[in-house]
Amino acid sequence: MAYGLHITNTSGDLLVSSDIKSYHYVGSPTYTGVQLRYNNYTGSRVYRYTFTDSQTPLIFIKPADANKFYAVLTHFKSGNNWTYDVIGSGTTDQPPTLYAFSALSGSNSSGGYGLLVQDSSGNRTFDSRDKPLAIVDIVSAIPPQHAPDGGITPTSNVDPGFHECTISNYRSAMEWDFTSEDSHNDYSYSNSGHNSNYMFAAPSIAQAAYQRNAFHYHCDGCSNWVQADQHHYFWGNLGVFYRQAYKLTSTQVQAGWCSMKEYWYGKAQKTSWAPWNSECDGSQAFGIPFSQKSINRVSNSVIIADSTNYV
Amino acid sequence: MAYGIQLKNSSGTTFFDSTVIGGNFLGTFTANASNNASFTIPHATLITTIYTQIFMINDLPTDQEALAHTISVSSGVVTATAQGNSSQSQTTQVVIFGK
Repeated sequence: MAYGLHITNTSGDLLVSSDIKSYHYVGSPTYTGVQLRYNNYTGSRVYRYTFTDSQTPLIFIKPADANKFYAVLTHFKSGNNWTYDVIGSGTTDQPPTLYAFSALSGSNSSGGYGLLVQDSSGNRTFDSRDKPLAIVDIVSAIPPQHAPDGGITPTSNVDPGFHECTISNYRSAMEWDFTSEDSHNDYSYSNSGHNSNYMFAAPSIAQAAYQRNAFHYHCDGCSNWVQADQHHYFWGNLGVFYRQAYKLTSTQVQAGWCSMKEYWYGKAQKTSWAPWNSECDGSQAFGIPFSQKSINRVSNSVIIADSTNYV
Repeated sequence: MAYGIQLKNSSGTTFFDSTVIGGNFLGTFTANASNNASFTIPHATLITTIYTQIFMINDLPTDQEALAHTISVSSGVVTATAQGNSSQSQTTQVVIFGK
């Protein structure tokens, strides 16, 4: 460099540069309520937050419960207004606290001391008065290929028997271990200073959907010439949709999944000589967007920091 | 500390210590849906390991097969490549870190 400031560590890695606008704390997004509650299997909540920023902030999550998985699910932008949906595992409402960081903008902050670094145009790139992001560690993490604790669901049909039009009675035969408590990959991080205020930035990119299929057929009377043939059918699907999420323990980043929605379809049918035909649908169309796979499953960086500095 | 830089807040508490900082923000860019984009990292030779984080902007959470861009890094250039068709491809934000 011809001029300016570089601060490197003992390994020569760049920490502060007059050519790079560092991230600084810009506020805590406002929690507005629960958007979605899903109480089957591991369960989940989708919490909504709002924030105003002319830039695209990086969002950190300070977990409300260290035993639960969290991740930023969606980043909605309208002008300078941001809406974030954050997923959390479990069947109780425990919204986390969010912290937002953006590249420096605006004029000098107040305060008469500290370290101010500017680029060649006089724009601030680092200002100790505006709470620069101090990263504890970065790990690259990817969730397991299959979200359910029971593994990938078989594509063959199960036979749930015939239960007339009581569609709910077909479901038990189609169940699977759709929980997602144990399906995670674990990564250690530099945790020498760990405390309960540790937070992480890790969006949910990967999605997964798995389903079980059911079919039943039997005939009453088909082998008895004195009885009218009566055909009994059932078709059913039970699917669960997952989003990637993370748990931050005192020693590990766990990259796993949150079950957030289920899809269910059942149709029973009896056919014979009229007027004994009957048909009943237990629900609307199945509607699962895809199945038996995960998508967007890539190694993504998890940024770890200590929120103590930004409270 | 024998050497390095420590920054303290007005209470005297150290919040930035070059001996323990575990990484640094290097830049960010947006790759629009169905379009590729790239970003050149300043002073990439001073970074041992480059990390990227991606998230999608304005994607729906459950109702579509939403695909983020795939990311590659070569010679200090981060490239985001769109995936899928026009209804699947999403706007992707790429955040770059080093340590």
